[in-house]
Amino acid sequence: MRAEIQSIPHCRPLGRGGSLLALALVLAAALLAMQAPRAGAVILPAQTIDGPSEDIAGFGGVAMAEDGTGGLVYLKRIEGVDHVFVARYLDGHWLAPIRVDIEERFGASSPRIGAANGGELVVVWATPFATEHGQPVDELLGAMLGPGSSSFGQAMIVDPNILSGTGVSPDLAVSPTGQADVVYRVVSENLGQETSIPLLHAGDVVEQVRVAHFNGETWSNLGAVNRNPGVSMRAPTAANAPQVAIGPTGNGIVVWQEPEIANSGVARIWARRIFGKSLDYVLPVSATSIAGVPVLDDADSPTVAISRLGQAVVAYRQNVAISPLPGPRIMLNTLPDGESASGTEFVGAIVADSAVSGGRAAQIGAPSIDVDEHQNLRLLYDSNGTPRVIFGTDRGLVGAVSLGPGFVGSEISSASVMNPAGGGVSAWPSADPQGHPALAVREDFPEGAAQTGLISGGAGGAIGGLAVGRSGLGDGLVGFIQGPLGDAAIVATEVSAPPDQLVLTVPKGWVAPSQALVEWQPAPSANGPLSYRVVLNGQPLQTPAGAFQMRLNGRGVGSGSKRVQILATDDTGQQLLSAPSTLKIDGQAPTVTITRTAGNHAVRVRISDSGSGVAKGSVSVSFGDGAGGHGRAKLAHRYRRGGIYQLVVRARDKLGNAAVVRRLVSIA
Amino acid sequence: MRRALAAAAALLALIACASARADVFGTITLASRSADEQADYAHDPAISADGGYVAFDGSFGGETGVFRRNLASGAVEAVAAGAAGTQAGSAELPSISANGQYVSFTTTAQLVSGDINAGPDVYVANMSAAGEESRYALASAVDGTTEEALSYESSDASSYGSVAAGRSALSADGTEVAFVTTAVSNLAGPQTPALQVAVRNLLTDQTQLVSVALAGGPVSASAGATRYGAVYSPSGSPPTFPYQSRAYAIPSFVGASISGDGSTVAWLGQDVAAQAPMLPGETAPNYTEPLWRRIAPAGPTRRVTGGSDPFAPGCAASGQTILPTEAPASNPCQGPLLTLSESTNPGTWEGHVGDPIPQLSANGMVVGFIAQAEPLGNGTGFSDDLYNELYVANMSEGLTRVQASRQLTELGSGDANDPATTSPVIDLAVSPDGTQVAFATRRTIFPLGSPGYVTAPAAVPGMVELFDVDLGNDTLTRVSQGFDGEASEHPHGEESSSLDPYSPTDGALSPSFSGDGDTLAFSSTASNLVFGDGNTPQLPDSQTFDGSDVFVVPRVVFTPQPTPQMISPPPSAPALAPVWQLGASALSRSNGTVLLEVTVPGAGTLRASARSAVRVTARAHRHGKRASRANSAVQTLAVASASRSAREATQLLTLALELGKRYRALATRSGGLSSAITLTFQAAGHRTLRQTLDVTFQGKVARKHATSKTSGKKGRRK
Repeated sequence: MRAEIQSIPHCRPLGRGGSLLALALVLAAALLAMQAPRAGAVILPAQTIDGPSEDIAGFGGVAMAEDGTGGLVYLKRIEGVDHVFVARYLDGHWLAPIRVDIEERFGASSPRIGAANGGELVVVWATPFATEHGQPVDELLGAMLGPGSSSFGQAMIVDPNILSGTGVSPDLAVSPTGQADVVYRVVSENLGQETSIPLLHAGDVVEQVRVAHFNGETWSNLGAVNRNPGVSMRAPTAANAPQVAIGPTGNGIVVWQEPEIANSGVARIWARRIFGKSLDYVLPVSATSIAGVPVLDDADSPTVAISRLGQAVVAYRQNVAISPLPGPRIMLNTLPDGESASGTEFVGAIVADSAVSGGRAAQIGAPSIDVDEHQNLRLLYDSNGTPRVIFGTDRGLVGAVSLGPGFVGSEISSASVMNPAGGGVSAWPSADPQGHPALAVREDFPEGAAQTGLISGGAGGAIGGLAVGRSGLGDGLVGFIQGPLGDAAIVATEVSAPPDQLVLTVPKGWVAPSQALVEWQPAPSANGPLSYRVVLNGQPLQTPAGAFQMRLNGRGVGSGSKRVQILATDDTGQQLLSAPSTLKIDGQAPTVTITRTAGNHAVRVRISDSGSGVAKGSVSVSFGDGAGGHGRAKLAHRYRRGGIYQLVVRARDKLGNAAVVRRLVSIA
Repeated sequence: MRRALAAAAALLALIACASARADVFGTITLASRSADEQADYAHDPAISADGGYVAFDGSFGGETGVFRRNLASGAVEAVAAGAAGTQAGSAELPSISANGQYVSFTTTAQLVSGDINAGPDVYVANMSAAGEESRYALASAVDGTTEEALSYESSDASSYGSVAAGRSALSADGTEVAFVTTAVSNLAGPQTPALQVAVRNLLTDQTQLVSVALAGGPVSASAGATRYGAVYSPSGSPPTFPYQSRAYAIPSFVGASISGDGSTVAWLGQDVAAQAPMLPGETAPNYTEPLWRRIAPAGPTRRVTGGSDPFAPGCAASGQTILPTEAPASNPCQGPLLTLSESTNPGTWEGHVGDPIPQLSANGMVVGFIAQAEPLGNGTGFSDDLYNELYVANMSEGLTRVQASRQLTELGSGDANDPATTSPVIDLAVSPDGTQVAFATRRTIFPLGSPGYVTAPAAVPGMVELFDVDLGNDTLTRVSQGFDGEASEHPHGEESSSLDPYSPTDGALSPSFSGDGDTLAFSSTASNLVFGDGNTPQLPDSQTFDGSDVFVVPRVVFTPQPTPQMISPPPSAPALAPVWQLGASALSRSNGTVLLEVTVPGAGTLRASARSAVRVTARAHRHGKRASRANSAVQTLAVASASRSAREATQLLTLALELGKRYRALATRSGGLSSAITLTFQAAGHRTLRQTLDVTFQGKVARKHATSKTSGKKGRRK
């Protein structure tokens, strides 16, 4: 069962009047697209942000903050010069793209974006500022769009000289509070030139991996992080670009590929923690041996994620030429959080998935990893054409699952974010059953359900680049470039997760109906504002809007143990039902049972209460013949003479619910 | 006003031929190669409208001349070739018919018996003809004869004759050929001055003089003279032929273009005043402008652009006889270009490097041309030598020349030493549909926003590159590029800041469009356009061959393939499973009733029955006697009942229990009537729910029940 969404027809050549009509239709379609219904939506239909146009020159990435705001960055040509454009995502809608590098004359390249709460965005890009020997010399610039602002501020220099900008491949991570780390490469001596240091491998380059930190106002260049400036590096590619992750406190971690002089210069993965403007020492990440056999193949495609508590997970690809592995594999290593005793070094690289088909000829895509504060991890990669997800906990890897449909266009890596409540979002380039390129998106929900989608921009075309921005709450902003350069479009969508972590409080023990107060905490959600309803015994009750507590109305509630839950509904119609709590309501007076005994010459009175219990001291019984009793829940009385007597029983339970029962008994 | 609207509509029609095509060009392939070898050099390509053939001149294995390559099979045939340096090997400057069957060219070879002059003549080869004898038709022939060549009077009989432009001299069906005489001839009778434009119809054997003077007859400022005919000649006198030994450069020749439909001819005119209306005082014979004439049906010669525009509104009434120096744009006689004084300025073309032959769309209505005159409205302070800009004009009736003209390139600076901003546009082509204009230049900066330059500019200017203007989507794209995406290059000496490693014509030249404008053929001396270019001269750059090749590059046509989006239904909302249980409360009301409020878990029927222990009196009969005695007893009886249906789940039901008539009085007694209410809820498919509540009926029973609100205040919940 699939829902099919009609795509916007592609523009056809029209006459003059037709052109105006087409313009009106396009505008109307764009308006409709901007106002696409969201109720109940989880994977939203893709929306073309810009294009298709020959002016679209590249895709830079997408970012999302915890509060659901975010943005997407791309390159667009203005009069032949590439400039940086950002489309913001606010209140569940994409806003019209705005230019970031307003004051820059020269062409921009390698833009990246990060998002902080409140709609704040940070963008970095490279641009030439001078020429040297006829060749342009680039600088790395950054700009910020503050919370509530609608335009980017003046560009700030992140690094005043990144030489030619070749292979700069910046990676930017922004914390929810607006701190940022960026890692990038500066290739100082290129292929074919005579280099100042010996090259470990043919084709190597002399390169620095540099890091800069943004404290929310200014950039601080932390310098080179690679451990040995005397070691040549592999020629820069997308697969060996450094990566960075940052936690909510502003502390991050950077990983990069760097050869070692020993072992024939095999390239390994290394990491360093970043504490604000300070760099920690270098940590080896990749395995140097597996089962006692040295690993002498290059490791590449590092991906890193860091949890709120500082636990970092790094996955990378291990190729096999002479490796002890049976084929290319995705490897995984974990750096425990700083609070733990073992938080000073990685625990050791392991093979993340041994179920890769294809043997040594298998093709493995770059992995995408995410981790949450519960130390659960989610890892997605292209396993020889099959999207495969690896799951792990603090106790190790716990499972793997293959997704479908398969990869189409394996040069584009998959992207994944996880939901701390379970599940997550996976996206990878694929195709529909007719072979039309599309982006496959899958959301796995905490309770085990899943939704899948094949999404595409209106004009279709191959997926040329993909990124998923993570809110940290399981939501993802998915952005990609579609169609060939020259007729490409920037396309995006949101995959939203249900609200997270509903905490419900009810009174302990038995309470009177008037004291039945239900309270709850606001649920974190990237798709707010949320609405809440109290659910009593599975039945939703009218709940005041905006309230985080509700006193139950006594009408019809009755007495007994009640199952209470909170149902939270987000802006997209997604709902989260909290775990049930038991609310004990006692609004019923004790029950009086009178039975005749001893051949109808006597009576036995029993007072009971299934709720809070009988307050025995409140019990008084008049047997109608002048006799009585009190202080006990069970009483018996033998009448001396036959006749009809009226018993009057008075009793209260421990909450004060009082019973007065008058009962005629016929005594023989 | 109507004219202005028409002009606007015409311009819109020119611009708004919206195309879904984007201007991205694909992989460049080498066309000047056979299955066995690459041409030693190749120039002047012309591609057939169907994109099946490319004709070019060059050298293959020691033979020079014109060749044709089948782009599908890769086979190369000689159109007219012979040993290098001989008349047989002198063929050059091909044009090709739409289906590639006919190829026109100029050669000094005598390919038909009637060609008895030693000078160059224009021929058309039928490549489908069975034998050599029937292959060639003489185009530069005497009107009405089959193959009698024009005769020429010249001091150099081997150099002067008739020449045809490369790429644009042949109509699409291959029947009409435009050519220019380069010597005094018998074209329009004896002593026809040189530099006349003619069209030969190969079907009717008619040779028609196209460059007809306003006064009738051929154009000449000086009858019988060799200078200042109808056609501009760069050197001031007719060019010599052949050019086969020339270095790679713009052909230093004269020529004319004919539209694909054969209806229109265009040439760079000189002595313009003799051919087309100018202001009365504009009579200088050295004045140049592109000229345009319909020949089917025949019409007058018209100016394409100009310094003056005598037909512009208000011009005639102004009484001006000549444009004043630096005439303002508001001058009613001012055309699109500032030609200064007609008497002192040679018009729109001053003889700088470049191919000045105007190019036509297939219907002749769109004219592309290069002009060296200063554009109207340009700023001051620019050198007069800088301008070499590309224009396109719409020849629809009713437009002033300003309205009809559009400038496609503009100087990026006034620095004549900055090739990035001021390199001249030196060659061009117009696609048959008139929506594309290709041109060649070393410029890397194009400041005009319309058309917008959408290609990443090269860091520094190098060789001449080929560009494409898409008039439909108003964009400018670089076409030529190395196979790794870099700029065009060929080996050159060490660079220094003061030494430019490339000559002004090194690089791409001679663009030619296929019929749909989606394939471009061009020549280039670059060695990096295709991998393995094997004829690149070694340094120093003084070889016999120039390393030029002919290339073909397709426009990447993007076919939208919308992908229907498919998204599975989202997971259902969390299941709210009602607990199968009753929630009930009872309220004893002062009117003697009990109000029950019950929340039921689903659709079903709720019943309530109240039972109380009440005193009953039984009359006992003695056996055989009529007398009887009343006995009291206590029995538990149903004293009240009610029911109600719930149609949906999660419904709060209210039931008012009222004592039966015979029991109502019991409620008025002190303490009322204690009763146990049993609630029963029955729903199909579910177990029956029961619940018991102890209540007291108490109070005076009214005839009409009090409202629950009123009674509720006095009642007491159970």
